Amino acid sequence: MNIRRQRNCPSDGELRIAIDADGGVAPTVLQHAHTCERCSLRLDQLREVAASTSGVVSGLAVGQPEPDLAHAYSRFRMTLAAQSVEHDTGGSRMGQVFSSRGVRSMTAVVAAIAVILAVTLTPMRTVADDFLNQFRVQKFAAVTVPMNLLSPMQSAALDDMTGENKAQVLEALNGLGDFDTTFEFSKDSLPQAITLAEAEATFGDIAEPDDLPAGFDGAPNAYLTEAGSASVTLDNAAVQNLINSIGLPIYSFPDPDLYPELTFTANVPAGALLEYKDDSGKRVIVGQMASPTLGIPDGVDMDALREDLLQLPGLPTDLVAQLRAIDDWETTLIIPIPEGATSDDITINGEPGLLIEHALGSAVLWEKDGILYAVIGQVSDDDIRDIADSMQ
Amino acid sequence: MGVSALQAQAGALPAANDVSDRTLLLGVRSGDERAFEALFARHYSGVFGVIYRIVGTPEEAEELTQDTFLKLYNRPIAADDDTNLRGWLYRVGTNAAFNSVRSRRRRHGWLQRFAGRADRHATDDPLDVVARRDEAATVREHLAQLPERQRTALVLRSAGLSYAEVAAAIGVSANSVGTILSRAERAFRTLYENANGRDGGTQ
Repeated sequence: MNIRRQRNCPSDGELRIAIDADGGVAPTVLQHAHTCERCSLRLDQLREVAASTSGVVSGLAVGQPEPDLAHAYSRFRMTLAAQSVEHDTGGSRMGQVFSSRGVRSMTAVVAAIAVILAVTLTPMRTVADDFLNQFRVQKFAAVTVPMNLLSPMQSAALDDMTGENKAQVLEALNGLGDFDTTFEFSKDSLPQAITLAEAEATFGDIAEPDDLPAGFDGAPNAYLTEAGSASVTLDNAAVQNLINSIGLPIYSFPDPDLYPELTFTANVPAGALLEYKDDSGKRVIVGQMASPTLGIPDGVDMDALREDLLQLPGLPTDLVAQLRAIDDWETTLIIPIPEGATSDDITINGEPGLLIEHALGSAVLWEKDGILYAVIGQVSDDDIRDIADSMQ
Repeated sequence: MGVSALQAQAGALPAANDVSDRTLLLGVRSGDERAFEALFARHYSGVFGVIYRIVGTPEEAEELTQDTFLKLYNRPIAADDDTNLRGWLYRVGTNAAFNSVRSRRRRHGWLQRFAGRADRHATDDPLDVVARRDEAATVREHLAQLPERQRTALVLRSAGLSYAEVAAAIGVSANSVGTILSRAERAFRTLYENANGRDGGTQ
């Protein structure tokens, strides 16, 4: 039963502080309670609830070990050392990455576009309901992306800013979070051509086409790409401050108090490519890899975030319309294709696939049993479909 | 390095035991490793204890406590006042711990559906151990259902933090802590009674 307090009576909060004799209000409040029947009852109620709750919650400390401080600090230093190695070999703070590439002046625009494309174009499918927020590719769709996509967005984002504002935005971006990756971006990290047998010794069985157009039937060059991952950990409060300062209409980030950091992780499995050439130098490339996965942090409503991003000013309306037309976006890897290319939904060995045709060549993509396949070549669309169909 | 060595090293700072958190934090921000060691030695056990209460396993508590200090090391907060650092450490630690409890509950839910059964705990433990674990797990789940400020205030107060320290951790004035605490206790009591019968099993 809650007893209503009267005017001039202390609040529940004041009575609660008085119970603990903390906060410096106890004497006067207790004096009042001794002379006020209602407050005396309220005090008894609060005291009883506090005592019973404290008894239960204090029980959580039962069995609590005393931490080994030296062990804890030793472990901490080891983590720091590992962190240092990661940074020296590829991972680094986001700001350092941007600085090292000498593109700080484009940071705001490029980062914004990267996030927009990553979220709106990213393939997603819930693997195990709420067990893991892991999403993976299941099928494909093509979206025509204007070649001048960057220009209007750059203008929209930066034209209205003063030089001081731009500097503030760039400074804020450097504090948004940390970016780490195991991928290496150097000439030395490009895969080297090896034989099919050498590739299979490392990768395992690699699917080969049984039928190839005339002239392409020599031994292929094989290339293996290493598995890798990349993650970005955003300081949620800093991100929202930046969004607010720019005035972007994005409201879907979770409460920073509940989710101070948001870590998005992309894992890309190892892949295998087979390259077939004819005498004229034309190429057909057959590729396969398990589906990449994208890890989404707790608290992020991807539907809401995607909708926010699709409404951002500066995105071409035609691109937005194409993206909105994909109902099952969570299961679909969207392939951006240039203007002038065409695409068709087709079937490859009973599985849904995507055929892309362009003056420079054709491509087919499909998924089967969790493996993504692609055939790309400077051949006709009929030839490319035959190659794909022959990969049983 | 033993506990005493670490503490001695922390104590080797000029009057380290008397040096305020604020002064040490200023040192950390300027790259002074010994200042960080001193803060680590001073606060690790307290943060670990609070996190342990929330997650219930020493391994997970250690993991989350390490993460909390790693965040401090990688991005030291501003040195405003002495309650600021403790408040920040406890806020980050309790947030991570409750997120972990919430994730665990979701994983349990998925596994239960997958397995088609509702028993959440190992059955090969002695009965009293199971009962105690069940009770603690239930209490943790009730706490996780409270609003963030309420649950944090309840746990931190239970761990012996002062009103000022709780206030710094949840970002309110010390006077507001009483209000938040009284609401938290009522809400927790209601959840507990609903789950355990009217007497709630409380004394």
